[in-house]
Amino acid sequence: MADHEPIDAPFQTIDVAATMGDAALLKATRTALRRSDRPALFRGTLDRPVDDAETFVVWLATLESSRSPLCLAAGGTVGPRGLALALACDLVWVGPDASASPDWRTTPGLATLASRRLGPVGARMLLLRADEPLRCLGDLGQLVFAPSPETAVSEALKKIGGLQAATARRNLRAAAELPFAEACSFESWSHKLARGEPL
Amino acid sequence: MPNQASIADATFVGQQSAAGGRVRILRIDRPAARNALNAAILTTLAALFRQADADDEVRTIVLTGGEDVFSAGADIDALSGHSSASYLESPNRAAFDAIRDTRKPVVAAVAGFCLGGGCEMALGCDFVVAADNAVFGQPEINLGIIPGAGGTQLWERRAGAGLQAIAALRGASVDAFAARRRGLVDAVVPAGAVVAAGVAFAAELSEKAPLAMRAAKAAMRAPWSAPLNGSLRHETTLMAGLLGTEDAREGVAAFLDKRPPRFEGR
Repeated sequence: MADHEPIDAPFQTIDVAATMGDAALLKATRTALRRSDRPALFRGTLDRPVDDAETFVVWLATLESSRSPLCLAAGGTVGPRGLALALACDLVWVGPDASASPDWRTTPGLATLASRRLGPVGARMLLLRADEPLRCLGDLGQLVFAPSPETAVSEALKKIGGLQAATARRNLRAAAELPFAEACSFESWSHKLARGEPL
Repeated sequence: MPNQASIADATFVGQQSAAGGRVRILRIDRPAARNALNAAILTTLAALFRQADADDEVRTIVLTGGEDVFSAGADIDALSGHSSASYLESPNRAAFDAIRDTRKPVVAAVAGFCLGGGCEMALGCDFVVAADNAVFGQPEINLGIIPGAGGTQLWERRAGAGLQAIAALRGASVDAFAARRRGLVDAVVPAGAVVAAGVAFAAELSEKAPLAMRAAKAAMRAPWSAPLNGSLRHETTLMAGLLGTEDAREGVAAFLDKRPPRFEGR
């Protein structure tokens, strides 16, 4: 389980190297998310093709089940892992030069991730009509283009606060996973915890 | 919330009361070992369960490991010291039986790792409230052994044969939300609130007629040792016995009077 570093401490970074295969990326992601509940910022080289689809989708499931808020700061060419992160992360900023590699539609798990994040209409818009997926995600509000993505992520986290971001992420997961009344009950406990009220 | 100071002792188990004494909270408290279960913990828990079961003031029991971890399972050292013969006679089995045999409703409040013997203990309870960081699993198959305290049976009773096989044969773990989807757990709450949520759940149960609660639990548990028809006859006998109680008369009267019942356990 994660250690007890203060949630409002600066985010931890997960640096994605060009040489990092899918298995190594999965391991690095798991290690980081297990070590701390702090927001996790992915950055680095994101244009590498998929080595192994099975490992890749296990990585997607790891991202989906993260209790830490996930952030992405990206630029340049973005391959399948970059596109997956653009969908999976909670706070996404990309540089004005960012664009997806030509094989983006073959990203394993893309339809599932897009449906979860964008709903059926947004998912169809992305998969069936988008010429350029990052622009499409920008139009849908999933990501923001900015001159300096890392600075933008840092400012956004400062504004909302790590604790608020973590609470929001957990409540969103409960909303997606639980029946309505149970998800509301989850949020009521969350509310008390966030406000420091006696339980 | 608990209204007495915790009494942690050298056997790593503490107890507290809540809801005016109607809820007894038993807490495994060995954080340095992720609440790994050793003979001392199991024996102490069994004794405290029997004590709570015999205490007329107590109506429900909460079992928890606190807000961080329920239990990572049995002490590997304790397991590896056993032979085939010695395991059958060990306090382990007797302790799990004592916990499962408790007549009063038991709520498990589970955070973090709930594995192996810890999972068997939680699933032997009547209700399981899980924190959103809870992980359930029976990794014993990965050690060349099997779950030995109910882990090959209790998953199926809650969640079906499929998940039972996934747990016992694959040694795979499930997170809190997957566990809720499959019915393995009854509620998911944010980490940090699981003990309070478990106590609130137990407090609500403690408002029900205590004799009827015990009878219902006995009837529900009867199939664990008898075929269905025998269990149905057992259920009828228990029901007949309850009809002569003051609580039953009070329950009917309160219903007719359109007022809340006042159950005294008589």
